[in-house]
Amino acid sequence: MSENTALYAFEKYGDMVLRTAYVFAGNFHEAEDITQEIFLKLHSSPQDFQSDEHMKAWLIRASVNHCKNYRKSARISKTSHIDEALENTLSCEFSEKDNEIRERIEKLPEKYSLVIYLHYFEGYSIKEIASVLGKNENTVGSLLRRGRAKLKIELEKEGYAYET
Amino acid sequence: MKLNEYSDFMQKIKCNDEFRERMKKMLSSESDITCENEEKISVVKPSRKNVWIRIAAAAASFLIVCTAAVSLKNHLPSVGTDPDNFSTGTTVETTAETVFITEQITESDDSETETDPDIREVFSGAFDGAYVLSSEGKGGAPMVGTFYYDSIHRSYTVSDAEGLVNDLSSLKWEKCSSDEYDAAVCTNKDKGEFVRHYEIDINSSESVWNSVSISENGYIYDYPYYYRLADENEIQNDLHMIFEKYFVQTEESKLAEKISEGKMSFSNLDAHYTYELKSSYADCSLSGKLSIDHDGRDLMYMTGEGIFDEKDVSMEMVVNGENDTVYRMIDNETGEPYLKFAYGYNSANLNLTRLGTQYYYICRDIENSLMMNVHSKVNNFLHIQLPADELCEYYWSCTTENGKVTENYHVALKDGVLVSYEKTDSSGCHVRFNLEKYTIDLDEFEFEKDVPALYDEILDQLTEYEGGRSDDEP
Repeated sequence: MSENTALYAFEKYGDMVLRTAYVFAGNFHEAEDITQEIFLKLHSSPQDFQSDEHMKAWLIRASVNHCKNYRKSARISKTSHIDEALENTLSCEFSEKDNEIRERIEKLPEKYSLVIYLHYFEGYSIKEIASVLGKNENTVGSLLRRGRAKLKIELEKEGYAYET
Repeated sequence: MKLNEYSDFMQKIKCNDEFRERMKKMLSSESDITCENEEKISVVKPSRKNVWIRIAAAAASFLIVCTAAVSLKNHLPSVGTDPDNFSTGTTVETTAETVFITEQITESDDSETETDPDIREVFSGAFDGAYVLSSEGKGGAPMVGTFYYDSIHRSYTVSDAEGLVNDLSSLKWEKCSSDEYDAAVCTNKDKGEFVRHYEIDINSSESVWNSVSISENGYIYDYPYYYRLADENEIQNDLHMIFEKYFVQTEESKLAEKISEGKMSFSNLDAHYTYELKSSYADCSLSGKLSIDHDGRDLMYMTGEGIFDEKDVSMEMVVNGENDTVYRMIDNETGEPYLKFAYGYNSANLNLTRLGTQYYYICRDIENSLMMNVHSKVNNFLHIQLPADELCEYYWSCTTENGKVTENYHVALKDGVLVSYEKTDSSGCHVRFNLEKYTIDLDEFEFEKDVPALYDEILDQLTEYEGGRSDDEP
């Protein structure tokens, strides 16, 4: 592992942490805050990672847990339907529909939204998700199926054609 | 829209250059930030207490703000009157009084001892009305809302800063090592348990990020330095007297304490309860029996009938002690188990479905919400209306710095025991819990069934991903 683990971790996984935080926090400013806090916490309390994958798994869990805490915190401020900060940052167009899909995923129970996110947006296989989360593969498969079913119902309610 | 199209969109979310640069500076061992206004140094007294970010004592450069005029979101007060006067990636705005100094701080020599350190200097930033957060137990001072069940947090304000500084500096202190500090203040490193310590806001009325910590056993932490009382005899008689004299408990903290003590203040309790949770993603209502026995083996037993996850359900919950919860829920239509789990307050089991009916956890959540607001007071307004009656009712709301209400609370206590709780938040989520027809301290109290046996029975039925408790979170 690099001498400065936090800096190494940020350079390697900073974007991933930001994305994860954005998916679960729903606000780009807060996603940046969460990203900053996670890496500073890692800097002040270095972890003994066995590998890059171990580090990545830790960062994903830290992101989700920080987002959970942010949701409970009364510090949570405005959530704009269209995130202007994100619009300014991205080169692609950001539509109302994109934000609604993100909201639908975020509103799923966490046990589903996390596996949905890891599988579809970070490209993890069921086996890899099970390893990251320390779960049984059958459990992960089951959560993915149920999460997908729930998401399909929610999206169809809003008039989206749900395709995987 | 296809999920993979959304995935392509998500992949475009990246840290922009300015955020990346800022993070690299904070995480690097050296900084290349130079002083912008050197002639100001002689005018403005640089103080190591104005550290805007706390990092572990290590060889590092860090940014010292000499006056509270730089705006970095969520860590320092805002510039001017507009709290959102910057956006992602803009350069930090400064006033004419702001000076940036880069300083290489070397790790203190662990063998170094220094007699008569200037404690007056350590606390020189103290001010009347400054917030003080005390923490003890697991986890120390809470980081962004991480409250452990066994930790206790209370809040105070400094009544007389000058008196506090005078009295503290009249005691004899000496420098000590970080190792000694850790050993003295952290009583159990494996479990992360701390003696009570007070974090006193210094030079800022808006955030606990600028603070000095002083423990009840006579240790001070003022990054990156550590001090101890030279004479242990002064701890009980002098140091604790200083805390009592100058730290005035806040109203929200008193309420938190009442709720915490109230939940354990009776020998037994028998009640009927109702619980409702309505939000955009959940509609749940349960009602049933709540029985608690604090004499002998601490046990709580709850039943519940109602609607959960759009199912007609029956529920049984057993709490062994306070923080060891098992429950099972039966789908009445099929007669089959629907949900069953074992968990603690901080369980990290991602499969877990928590029930909002656990009475101790409700008390704990309310207690923590009162402390959370104090800890991040820079963004919140807290107002408590105190009634005076046999039934004590409390109302408060939490607001953002823009004044938008994010949560409203209503809590009622009778003889210190929580009997009613209601919360609404800005997302439309509404939670309500009430105790009805309750009796306390009955001479003849018995559970309606063999609760210890039920606890074991539910535990035996759990699968691998339904069981286990873990308070370990990254």
